[in-house]
Amino acid sequence: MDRTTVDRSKPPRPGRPKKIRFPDYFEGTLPNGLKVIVYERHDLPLAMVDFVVRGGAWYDGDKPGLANITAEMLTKGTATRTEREIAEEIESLGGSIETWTTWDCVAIGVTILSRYFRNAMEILADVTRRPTFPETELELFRERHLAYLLQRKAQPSALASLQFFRTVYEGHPYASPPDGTEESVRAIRTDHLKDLAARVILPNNSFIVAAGDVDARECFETCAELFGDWRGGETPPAADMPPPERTGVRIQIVDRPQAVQTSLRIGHVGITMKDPDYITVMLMNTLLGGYFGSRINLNLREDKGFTYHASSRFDKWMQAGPFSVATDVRNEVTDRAVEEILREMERIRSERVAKRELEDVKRYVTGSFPRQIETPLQIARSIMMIELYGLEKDFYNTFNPRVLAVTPAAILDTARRTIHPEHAVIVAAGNASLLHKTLGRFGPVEVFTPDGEPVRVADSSKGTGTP
Amino acid sequence: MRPEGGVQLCMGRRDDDAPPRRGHATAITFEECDLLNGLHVIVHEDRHLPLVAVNLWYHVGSKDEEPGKTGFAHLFEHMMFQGSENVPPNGHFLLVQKAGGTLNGSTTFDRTNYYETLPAHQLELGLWLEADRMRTLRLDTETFETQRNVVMEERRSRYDNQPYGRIYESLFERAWKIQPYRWPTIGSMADIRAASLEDARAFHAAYYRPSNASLCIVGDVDAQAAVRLAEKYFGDIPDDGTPILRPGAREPKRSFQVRDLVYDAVPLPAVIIGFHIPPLADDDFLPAEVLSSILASGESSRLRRRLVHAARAAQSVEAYALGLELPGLFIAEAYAQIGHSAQELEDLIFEELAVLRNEGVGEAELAKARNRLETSFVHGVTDIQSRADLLNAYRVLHGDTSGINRELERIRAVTADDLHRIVRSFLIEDNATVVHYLPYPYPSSA
Repeated sequence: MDRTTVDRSKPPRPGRPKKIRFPDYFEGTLPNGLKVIVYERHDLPLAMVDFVVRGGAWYDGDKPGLANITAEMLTKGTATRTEREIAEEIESLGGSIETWTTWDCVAIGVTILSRYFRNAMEILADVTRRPTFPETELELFRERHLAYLLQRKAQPSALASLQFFRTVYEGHPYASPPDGTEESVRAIRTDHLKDLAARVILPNNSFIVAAGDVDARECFETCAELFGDWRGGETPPAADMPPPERTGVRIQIVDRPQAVQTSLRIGHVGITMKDPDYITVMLMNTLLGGYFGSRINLNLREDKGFTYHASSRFDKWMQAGPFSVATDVRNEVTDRAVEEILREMERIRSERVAKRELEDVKRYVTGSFPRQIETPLQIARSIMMIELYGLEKDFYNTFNPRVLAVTPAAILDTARRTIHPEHAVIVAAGNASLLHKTLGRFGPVEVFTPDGEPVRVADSSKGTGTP
Repeated sequence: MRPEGGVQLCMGRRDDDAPPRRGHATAITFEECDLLNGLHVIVHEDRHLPLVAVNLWYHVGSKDEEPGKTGFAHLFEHMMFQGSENVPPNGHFLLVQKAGGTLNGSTTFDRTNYYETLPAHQLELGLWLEADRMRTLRLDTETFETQRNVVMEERRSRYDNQPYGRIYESLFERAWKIQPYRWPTIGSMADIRAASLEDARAFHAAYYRPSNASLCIVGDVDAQAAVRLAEKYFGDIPDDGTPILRPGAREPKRSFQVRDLVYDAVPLPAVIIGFHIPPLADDDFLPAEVLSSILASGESSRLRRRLVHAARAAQSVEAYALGLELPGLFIAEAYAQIGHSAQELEDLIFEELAVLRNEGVGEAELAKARNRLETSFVHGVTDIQSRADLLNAYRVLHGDTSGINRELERIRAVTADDLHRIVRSFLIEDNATVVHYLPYPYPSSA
């Protein structure tokens, strides 16, 4: 090769892209209604199995955190194993068992070297079918969880987020955090856990996703053997309460007198997982604040140097989750950062996006597709979304064509429908005595304690604030 | 296919992968060579998806800084995204993302890495971008000032404005008095403020040279073709061969414990303990890593059982061996439950270490640690970018790329005697630096 001929002045021309598809997988349903899905991939000797229950924090009722604690307690004792035996058994094989809770599901997942697949499945069946919720384990969990909630209150971005949800979703279940509050966590008893488990952890209200070095036939057989004689029951009603109406601009400060930076959340109610414009909203958000090259990040970080990172997102659940912009900025520029964010929200709903900017975002999103299906875990989580939210089976294979079809006019229409600076809830977790005055120019300012209790302005502003 | 056992419906077909192999991970095959200018090139083919990972390590980190210029290696990393002769400021982000790729860089004590994961047909874009900023760098006042501000916000976001955010630097500055790990990678605010463009020019010339770098390409590529492309873009970048001065001073062996208290805006006490241990490449490092697994990996581990479940004194506890080029630290840290003190946590940790010293480790516990480390190793090579980064780590920090394929074997070879030796030699009170990280004793709003 002749080195002197390298033309460095322009980016090299790409080769020809290869077409790829979301991989095929196996699925089947046991007579009791438990669906089993298997994605086989054998290049590494690792298997992951998630047991997913359609029964998340939505079913907490008046006890925020109930589903989360119920899920955590599944692995803390069964009819045949103590907490310690469960941990010892799975960890001796190099595996782990974890639970997590969202608004719409509770999931119990095992990760295991594939040579121990059967052992892990037995433990998974035990914790989902025969949990005993021992009192002493609940007490220990409660102590640990209360310490965690206390630590959360020292965490600026968590404080901003908690207050944001409290305000945007006032009167709606989404107003309370899925992992509970100190008050609710103190009140939860083992009876509550048993009741919720009996109501939602049913074979016909659950499904299993196995991925990695798993043989589909063996997995179906194992599931039939371990879960086949489990009888189903009446499934709980789906989440059905729409979020509150939007109610104009609110400006709220969560006071952290020692803060050297302000954590911001700005937004309002957004869309549901089943929104017909899902793809357009996703593309519009990517452009606005969904990747490094987005308008909000380039403006706040690369142009102004206000922050290390700024982004926007739509959380999507059965009911409409929020649209929110999140960033940490230095104290002195907090009001200017808010102004720039509101300006970007206004701009995307008033000016048609240039074709070229839209093309760049489309290339980013469509080109990201193979990276999103790279690992068995990613595939398993994608299949889980299809199953949990009843998305079309070819959702991921039609994804790129649908992205490419979005027009600048559609982006504008969608932005007008889903982005509302005139209804923005602006939450700043930071030093109220500094922020009260500067944020006052956007409207009346409310100040709160980290627990969400209102603070009289005169108390917190130390005389520097405007009334 | 219709499995027995009451399954009603099956769909789909098998991937045309190799037949199921149940058992152990197979070797990661790779090619490697040095270009004439000294750039090391590693290529590993993985044809599973049309993706490619480009991962470039420079053998320079915060330990190569001097006092007064702390945080510079990391600030400089930010400047590497501000353009070069043929790439405009932020061109890396814009061009790579437009190509459907993702990218970033990171700085540690010992190295700085830059990486892109791209659709495989965009491999050349990644190489062109990396080569351009190895050759030349656009350093102007305006972008430098912006990045200085961004980095100061990064320091606030990740450390100063986070509860427990300064716990590691509070340990490092007390554990090390000589070795240049005594300041954090992010650096001090004062030093970030004082950094200059002249420093940046000198830094690029001194460290961002082919012979101080290792390029790893993993993915849907032909190994020979990938090496030729590396030669095409990097082959003519000059390297004058000036030797790089590396900090060599070692911390002298210490025969007394260092203890301190640090107050911060945190709700609950914590304790962090660091024990000096040998460097990453030393034979005693892996046993230390196995020990950390036995002590605190998983709910069944010794420290979790003792501090969290039996004494109910800790909300969480972690232990790990920090593997570094110069001698590193074995770290144990615990966060208190409401109503418990840092001293109580410290006493419990030392009591458990005494049990370990007196009674040793049984075969079942050793087998558990081996299984857990095998799982986390396999986990760590699941995606092509992590695999590329790990190959470079073996090359640059261990001096042998093929070490990646002996790791599991080495883990299996660790014996109970090895562990006992580590506990007796290193996990002892006189070798410890202990920091109690405490809530302010007065109201924080005062």
